[in-house]
Amino acid sequence: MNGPHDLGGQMGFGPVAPEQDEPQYHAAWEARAMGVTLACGALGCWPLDEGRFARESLHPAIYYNATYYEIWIRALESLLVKYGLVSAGELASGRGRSRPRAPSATDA
Amino acid sequence: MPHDHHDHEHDNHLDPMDARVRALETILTRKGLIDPAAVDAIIDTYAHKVGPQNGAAVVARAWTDPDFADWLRRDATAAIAAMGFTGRQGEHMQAVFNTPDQHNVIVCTLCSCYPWTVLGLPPVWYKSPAYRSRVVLEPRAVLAEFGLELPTDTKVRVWDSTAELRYLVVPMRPEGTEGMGPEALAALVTRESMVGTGLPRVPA
Amino acid sequence: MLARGTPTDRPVATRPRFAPGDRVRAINATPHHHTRLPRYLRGHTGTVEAEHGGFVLPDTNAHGQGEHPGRLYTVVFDGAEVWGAGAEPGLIISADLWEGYLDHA
Repeated sequence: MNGPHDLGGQMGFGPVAPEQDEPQYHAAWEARAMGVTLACGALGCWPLDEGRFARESLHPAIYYNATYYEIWIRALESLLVKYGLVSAGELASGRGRSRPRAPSATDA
Repeated sequence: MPHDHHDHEHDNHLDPMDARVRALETILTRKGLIDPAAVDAIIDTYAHKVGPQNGAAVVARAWTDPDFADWLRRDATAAIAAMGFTGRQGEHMQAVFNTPDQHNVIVCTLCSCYPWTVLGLPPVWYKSPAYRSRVVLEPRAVLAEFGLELPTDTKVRVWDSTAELRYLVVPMRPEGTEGMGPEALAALVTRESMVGTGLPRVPA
Repeated sequence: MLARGTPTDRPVATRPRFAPGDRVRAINATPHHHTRLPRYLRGHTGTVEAEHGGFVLPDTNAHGQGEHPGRLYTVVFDGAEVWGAGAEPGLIISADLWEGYLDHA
């Protein structure tokens, strides 16, 4: 699909800005997100290809506004719901009031 | 300078994401789908066992052992596995050797494919839209942002990881390292030099 | 799980359509499904460098439609062919593309 992920030759994202002595994670949740995503992948319900499709199917405004681990988590949630492992209601109640605001492409 | 202060533009999502991931892990654990101890073990693996030190050991051995370098060139998956580095996102490996004529750079323009078994988890810049969009279009401009200026007659080859082959750049051995053993050499091999956005350190 | 990985190479019975040195053109297609043929290479001509045997086809596997393994090729593109006359001199781009993504040029 011609999704937000297909980035070769796109313009406007600015300099690459490598970070010196970058830590492995920039927040504690990123480590949990990595581990939870891999643990769920190991359930064997979907192949990695489908995981990639779930990520690139995120709305472009979300995709470009999210860190990569946030992309992973959002895609993981959608797969868990698709395969009936978790319901949308459970995800919503688990998040409580912290539901994310509506994304916009400009609020970087 | 990009090195001085990297403004993490996404940090405004930190708190909601913390709650979101906690909630997800709690739900999955309650349902018996995941075990927090297994998640801990995965995190620990990539914190301590799998990282660029693995790739550095591979490169240093290739620099000092011509037979190994040959094997690495012909069958990187087997040569790297023989050093004990196997697993996820390293199932099908290819080593690409820099030469005076050609400098190699790896990217995944479509997601963030990266040779985990030898380099560990990718850094933020590797996954960033800026790197993925630009390095296939203007690699020299991107490399300059890493402080790397190549001779003008050097070809730059960008390897887009569009399938399940994962690439390890084998940089050229720096001058002034004659007589150094694999361990001392490995300390010169940076992560960036194995992605192609940098060169190995030069011995002090 | 971490130490084993998930290899995606698969045997294929058909003979390779392309050989190293062949000139090939990436198909021009705009699928709504998952694909690993990037937009910036579609319709462009390159040279086959290597043939890697069969690999699971992401286009079907991502959608529960089976693995349909196809041969995978490393195809090398000249920078000016992809980006036009203003491309950085000396730029070479390669990608790993399934047989179905390619036609003879």
